Amino acid sequence: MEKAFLFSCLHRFMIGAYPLPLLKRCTRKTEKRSRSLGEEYLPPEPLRPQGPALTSISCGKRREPMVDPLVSLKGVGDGLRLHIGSPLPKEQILSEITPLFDRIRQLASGARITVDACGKEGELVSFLRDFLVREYQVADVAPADMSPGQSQQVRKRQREADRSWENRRSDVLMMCGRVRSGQKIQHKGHVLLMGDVNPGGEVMAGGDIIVLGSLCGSAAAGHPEKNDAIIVALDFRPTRIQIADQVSTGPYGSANRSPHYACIREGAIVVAEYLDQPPFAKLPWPEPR
Amino acid sequence: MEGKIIVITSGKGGVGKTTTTAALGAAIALEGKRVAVVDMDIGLRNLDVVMGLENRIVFNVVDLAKGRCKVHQASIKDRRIENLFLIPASQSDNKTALSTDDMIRLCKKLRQEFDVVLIDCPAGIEQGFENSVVGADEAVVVCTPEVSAVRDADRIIGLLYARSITPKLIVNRIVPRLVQSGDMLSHKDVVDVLSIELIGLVCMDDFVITSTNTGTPVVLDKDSRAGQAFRRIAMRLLGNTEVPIVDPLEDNKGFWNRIGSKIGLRRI
Repeated sequence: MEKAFLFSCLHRFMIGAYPLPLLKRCTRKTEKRSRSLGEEYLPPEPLRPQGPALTSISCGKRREPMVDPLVSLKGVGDGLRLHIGSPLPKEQILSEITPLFDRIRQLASGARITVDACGKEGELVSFLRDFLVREYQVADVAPADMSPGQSQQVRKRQREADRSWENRRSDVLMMCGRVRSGQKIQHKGHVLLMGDVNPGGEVMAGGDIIVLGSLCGSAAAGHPEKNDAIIVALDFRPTRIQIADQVSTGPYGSANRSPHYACIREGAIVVAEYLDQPPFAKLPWPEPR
Repeated sequence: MEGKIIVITSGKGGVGKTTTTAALGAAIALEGKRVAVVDMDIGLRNLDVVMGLENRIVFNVVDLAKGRCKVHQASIKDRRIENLFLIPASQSDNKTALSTDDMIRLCKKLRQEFDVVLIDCPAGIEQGFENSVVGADEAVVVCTPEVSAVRDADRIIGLLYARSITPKLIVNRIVPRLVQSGDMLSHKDVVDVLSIELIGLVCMDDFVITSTNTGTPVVLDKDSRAGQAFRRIAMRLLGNTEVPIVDPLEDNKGFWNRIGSKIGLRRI
């Protein structure tokens, strides 16, 4: 489908039927970029059908690198972050950053500058330090700690940790009351029951089962094949538990009259005290389940 | 004023539904109400035997429900107690002889004639149970302190809730000695699991067996602890909530025993 669309675009391009404004924009951007790089201006090559390579050529791709300015300055924490998008000759860097620092001369004096040059800081840092300390009296110039990929990843993870549950639709079935003998709660997602499961009652879930009360009936979590599902109960005395395809019949007598949980470890069902060995204690940050 | 219909049920057989029905019928009649006890265990009637009225049966509940006789013809007056009537089950008919529509009509008729109608429900959850429950206003669940009886009572309670009847609980046949030694569930365990309103605790009593055999009401016996418990339950069913629920474990403790348990000496 995508391929077909791409080919039709290319075809239009070739026959000159491509929408004019788009074409114009493309040309202008390419022109600007070439100038700023100090290279010779090359008009866009006429596109010829050349087998598989064709698929990778698209107007969108051509435009992409132009979104970021070459050199940018940003306030980060207690200092400034100087981002240099692509490897440039030193003279050009100077000519790019001079207007930027001129504008914030007051702010820059005494500031800490972090240089982020896509992993090519190297000698650039000492060069910039000499220049910036001399011209603008900045406090220090240091390379960015992490490679941009890494830092981006961490930022992304952090963002995920902060935001991941915001737009999440919950698939928890939340119930209250008592599941009596002969009654059955069945749900594709997790089941949270505020109440008890009597002997003979049944709870079956595609995910986890959490019983805020006593679990005296049977519980089947992770049905049919979710091995990492757990069963938690404040009063854990089930007649039978099942997680994915593992079955355990106990006995879970009155010795378990405290919060316990069951999970699969090394292919067998293990029951542990919930407060002594919390099942999710090792997760670095909260994640949706 | 229309009478109320109370079904006495348990799910499991042999927990004392019939005995409870006979005793509660007699006890409520002694309170001055006009009472009918209806045996719904069609094909296996025995409430008439427990009440000592088996040789007076002419018509039965199936005849009455099918309109083959009048209410006063089918109801047999008790020998001793004034306001107590029995409507016996049919011995020859099948369990499927009655439909729920028949029962709703029958209950309507009985409501006009009596203050209280007690329905003795058969064991199980089939047609007989459906028929007994369909016209009832209230339900009493009888349960013994056994795991199997609790399981069945739990199922029955679920089914009663599904018909929007809120049942009340009688724990029957408690043996205080076994409960104290830990060999029998205590009534607290039963109430914990079933979690419905408790209206009475009845302990195991030899008087019940002898009075069942002779067909005399156990509630007339002043010495019978079970009989007295049934009388208290009857009062509570009639709305007198002041009557205390006597715990059989503490009931027979005398003054010295109470002192003994306070200072740490256990009664064995």
